[in-house]
Amino acid sequence: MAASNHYPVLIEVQDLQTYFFLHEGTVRAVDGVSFNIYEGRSLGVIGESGCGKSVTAQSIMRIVPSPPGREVGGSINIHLRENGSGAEEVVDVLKLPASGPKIRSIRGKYIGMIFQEPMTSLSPLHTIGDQISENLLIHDKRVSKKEARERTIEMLARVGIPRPQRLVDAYPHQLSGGMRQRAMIAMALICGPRLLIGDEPTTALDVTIEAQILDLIKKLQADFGMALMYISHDLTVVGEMSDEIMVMYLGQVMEYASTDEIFDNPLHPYTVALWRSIPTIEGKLERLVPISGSLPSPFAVIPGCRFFSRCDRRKPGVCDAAPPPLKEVAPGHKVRCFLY
Amino acid sequence: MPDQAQSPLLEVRGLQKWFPVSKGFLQRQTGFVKAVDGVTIDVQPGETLGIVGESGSGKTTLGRCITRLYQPTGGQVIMRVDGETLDVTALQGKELSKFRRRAQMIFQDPYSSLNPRMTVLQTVGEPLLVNNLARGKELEQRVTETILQVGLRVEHLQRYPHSFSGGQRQRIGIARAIVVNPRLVVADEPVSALDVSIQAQILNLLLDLQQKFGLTYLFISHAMSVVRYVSDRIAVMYAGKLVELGPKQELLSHPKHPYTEALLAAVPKPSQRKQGLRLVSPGEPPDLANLPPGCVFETRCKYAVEQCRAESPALVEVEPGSYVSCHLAKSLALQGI
Repeated sequence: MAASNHYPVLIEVQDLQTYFFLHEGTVRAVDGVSFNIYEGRSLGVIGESGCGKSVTAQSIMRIVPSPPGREVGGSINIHLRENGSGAEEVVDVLKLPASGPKIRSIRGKYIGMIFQEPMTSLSPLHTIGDQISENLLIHDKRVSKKEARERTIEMLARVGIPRPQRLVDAYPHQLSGGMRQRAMIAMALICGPRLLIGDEPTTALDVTIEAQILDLIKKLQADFGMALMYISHDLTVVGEMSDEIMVMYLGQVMEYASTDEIFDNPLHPYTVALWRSIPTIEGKLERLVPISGSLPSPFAVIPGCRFFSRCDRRKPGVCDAAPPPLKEVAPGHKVRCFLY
Repeated sequence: MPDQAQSPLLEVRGLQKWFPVSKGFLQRQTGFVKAVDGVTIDVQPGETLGIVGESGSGKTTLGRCITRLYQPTGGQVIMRVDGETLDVTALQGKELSKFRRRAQMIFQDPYSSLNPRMTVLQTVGEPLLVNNLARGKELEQRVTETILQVGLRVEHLQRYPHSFSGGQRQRIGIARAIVVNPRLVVADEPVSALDVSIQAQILNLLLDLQQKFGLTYLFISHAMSVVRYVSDRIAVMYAGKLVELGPKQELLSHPKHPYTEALLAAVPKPSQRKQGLRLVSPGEPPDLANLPPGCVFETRCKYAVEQCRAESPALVEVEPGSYVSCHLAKSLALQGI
């Protein structure tokens, strides 16, 4: 399979720093993260709570809760291409006011986002049909209410909601968790975005429903030809959804490589340790090797490698002296570790 | 693998837990949610019986009925312990508190299951105190021994839950459960709320404690991979019913119930990550207040025949140790892992 960097770039994130300024101190939730998202390709982001994976996505959408959060450095360039015309505009979303008209024309239209808990993005007071068609009406003034409703029903059918003619008038609480997640996907996709961001969209779902939603997202991604940024703590789920995977820990990218490389040839001690610590459904049953210790305090300022305190291959005097750079050790395989 | 010939520690017979549903201004009772409906299961001393199922399958309710946090609506739970035979469902007063020392629970959420105003010493010491097992210096001694067993340190004794990470809080919850030397521990999703890198620590701790103290576990989880790691036998629940029960490896490689097959197919597998779509089982679980007359899985089952719509299948032993409730159990060749 061709590497993603042969595709046109859609989003370039450069040295992103998003900090949270709290009474107790500053949390460097995202601290120098760089990566690209390419047209039509899937980037998986894995990491544990506090690694900055959600805040990275929120920064792209400019929906970081502020205060206390703020994007203090870096750039996020989005390549806006009008369908068919070939015209291209590059916008640094970090330079835009967070609630101005420009970012609002990008959010929802060029980038759709789905969350873990559908109830956080669906209003309990409006029917799902009204909420989905609202998105369409805001972003395209030429669309009439009648047309919006028709397109909403069509989209509900595409995301697998049964009897869409009737359920278009349902309220979120009348739907099951899986159906709400489908409605949220319909809302994210109604404007035909170039990128869909999924932030743990299946974590709250049951196993068989999760499988349905994962299959649905994959199918819609192919149908719409859009890019996917898929965020999860679950390595096996991310493995199914992604062409490339980015492993994050405490606000930094520790490893970035193709999905095959992350699965078959992980290099960073954190990635290797993650693999040894998770139970899987297949293969030999061996005793799991836990990652020792626990996550450092989010307020801690760590001078060297952020994984140092838990790493089983650390070199004192080297790894805790200066931060390791993210280095490309093989084509398309980047690692932040002094071992390489 | 525990010896199947010895008498079971726990016998669960036709256990039912129905929650009343009421509607309208007068709160008239209109029916029941049949959270657990006729579950029969034995638990052998020293084994880990994994219970898997999705939300609403009744796995948590089953665990809570067995530990008598809920009073079951019907059926029986018998525990054989230290030469005594206890009818758990009928226990009251002193007998009930004596039983609680023998059957303890570990909960999912290490944040809400600990009292924020109690130190570790108070939290872990409370079961000893209320059961009049120890007090004063002796209590402190026993609590200290226990927290060392679960990987906490002496200096943690006087601290409050907020100063601990999720993994450490779960260790406190485990210490609270084992401090009274129980025989049976019902662990309800004990690692689901923890970060990936912490889960293995807690799973290994549970396995080590089992070895050391000869504990019997009822391990409830929605995650098949976790259940596979810790269990000797696996029970699969769906919509309040036990649909399949068998030795771990047999159940995983040769599932006998279509739901077990669907569940196994739904779990993402590293080796199959490149195979596009998975053809997962469609539909959603039935409404527990309005169950279909036949098999509870019939609405989603791709093998269903007329009989499945009409009659509810009974749990039968199709191979030694393998139980399944499916009319077609003998004729289907299902795919495992």
